[in-house]
Amino acid sequence: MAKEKKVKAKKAKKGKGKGKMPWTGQLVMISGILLSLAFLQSTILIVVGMLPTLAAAVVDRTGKGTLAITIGAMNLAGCSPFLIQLWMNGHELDMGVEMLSNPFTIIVMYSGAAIGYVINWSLSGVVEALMVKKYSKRLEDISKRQEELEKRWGKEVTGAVTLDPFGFPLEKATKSA
Amino acid sequence: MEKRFEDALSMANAQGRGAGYWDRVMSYIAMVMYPQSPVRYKGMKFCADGFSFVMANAFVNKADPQPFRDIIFYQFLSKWFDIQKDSVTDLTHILKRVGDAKKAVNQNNMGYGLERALYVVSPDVPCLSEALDSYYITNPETLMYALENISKQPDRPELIIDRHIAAFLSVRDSKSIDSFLVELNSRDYFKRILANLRILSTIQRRAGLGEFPGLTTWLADIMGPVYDRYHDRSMREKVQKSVEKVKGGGDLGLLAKAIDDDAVWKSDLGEFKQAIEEYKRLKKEALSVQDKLKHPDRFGKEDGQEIAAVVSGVISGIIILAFAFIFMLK
Repeated sequence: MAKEKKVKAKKAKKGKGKGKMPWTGQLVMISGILLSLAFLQSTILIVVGMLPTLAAAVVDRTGKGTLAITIGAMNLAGCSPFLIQLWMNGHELDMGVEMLSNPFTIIVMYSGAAIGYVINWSLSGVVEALMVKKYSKRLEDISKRQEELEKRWGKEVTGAVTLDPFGFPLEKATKSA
Repeated sequence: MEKRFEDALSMANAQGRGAGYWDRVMSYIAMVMYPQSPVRYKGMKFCADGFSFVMANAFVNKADPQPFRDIIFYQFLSKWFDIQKDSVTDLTHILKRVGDAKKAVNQNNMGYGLERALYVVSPDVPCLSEALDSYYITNPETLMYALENISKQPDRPELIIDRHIAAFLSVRDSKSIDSFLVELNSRDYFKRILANLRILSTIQRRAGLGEFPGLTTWLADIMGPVYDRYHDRSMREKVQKSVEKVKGGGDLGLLAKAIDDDAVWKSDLGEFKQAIEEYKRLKKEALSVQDKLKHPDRFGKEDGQEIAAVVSGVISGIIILAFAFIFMLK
């Protein structure tokens, strides 16, 4: 009974902790919000431009977020010329909105994300094929080495035969004269 | 008379009433009734100083040696000597030999038993091994020459040292055989073969004898089970080749060195154990790889996506830096 209570108390503690963000996280979040408000022009451009990354993060089932990272990195590369252009030209809200209203900008930004997706798809396929080949070769090597060992040391080396303390099959250990 | 009779009975009773009790009683009664008469037992009659000849004769004629076991084990001669009233010839040396033989008669191992008792009791008797029927062997040296002759005969036995030769050598030249008696009596056939080789090579070395090509060939021909004691098949072939090289030479020491090198035995066993471990490890690894190959998407895709993330990160970094550089130049 006492144990059950303890477990319940622990669970309650864990539940409380789950909803609460550590102070460092809170600090980063507040700083992020303040920065995004301070640089609202860039924030708008990034939020719109990086929508494919957000979608990728939602559908990413790798558990490690690798798909989102791959797409996100290329998506950011696609957004970068417009961001730099915005910063170099006075960082005006109008200019940001104008950029976003130009389909070319959207195409370039989203093309980056598409390239990221292609990189992810092609490399994972290539690596998978390479790994299968590598492991198949390793399996062949193992089988070859096992054959070599059997040829040199006999069936006794396989562990399929019961051996005496000197490593010989028990039924062959003795022979009467 | 009555007292003597009782003495005879008490002597027999003191040795238990097991098998041969009545034969012993009869023998003791004959002794006490007529002390000057020879020892009588199971139809045999002999004087104490003739016992060794009677025993040797029984072996030569392949008679049942069991009564001699009883005579030695129950010390008939000692009892006969004790009841002599008149002084008889000095028989202490015979009694001592029979006393020494008593230790051997109840052991069945090679080098012991009645064969040993025979050579202990009869110091002049030659080796009575069946294989040496046509020879008169009185010492280890002549034994070696006889064996060399036998080696060339087609009907030679498989193993060289039999019960008689072992007992004969153990009594006459204990240094050449006693340290190998355990191997000679081993249940493992290969150990017995090696014991034969070691004993004969010891005699050859100690006596400084010449070469025995027939004997080395004989021994080399029966080495099959010894080769099988090497785990390493290539080592078996190597040792077999070394033996083939020296077998015609007649030097038993060289033959022993070729097949019975302690360092080689040890390294063979050590490497065999390592091979077992390696095989086990490979088996385990093969199972794990087979499991992975059943689901290539699990490991191949994950690795590929990780690599893609890194590649994409690097390319993105280069692109961003390039754009920054271009805008800076403008």
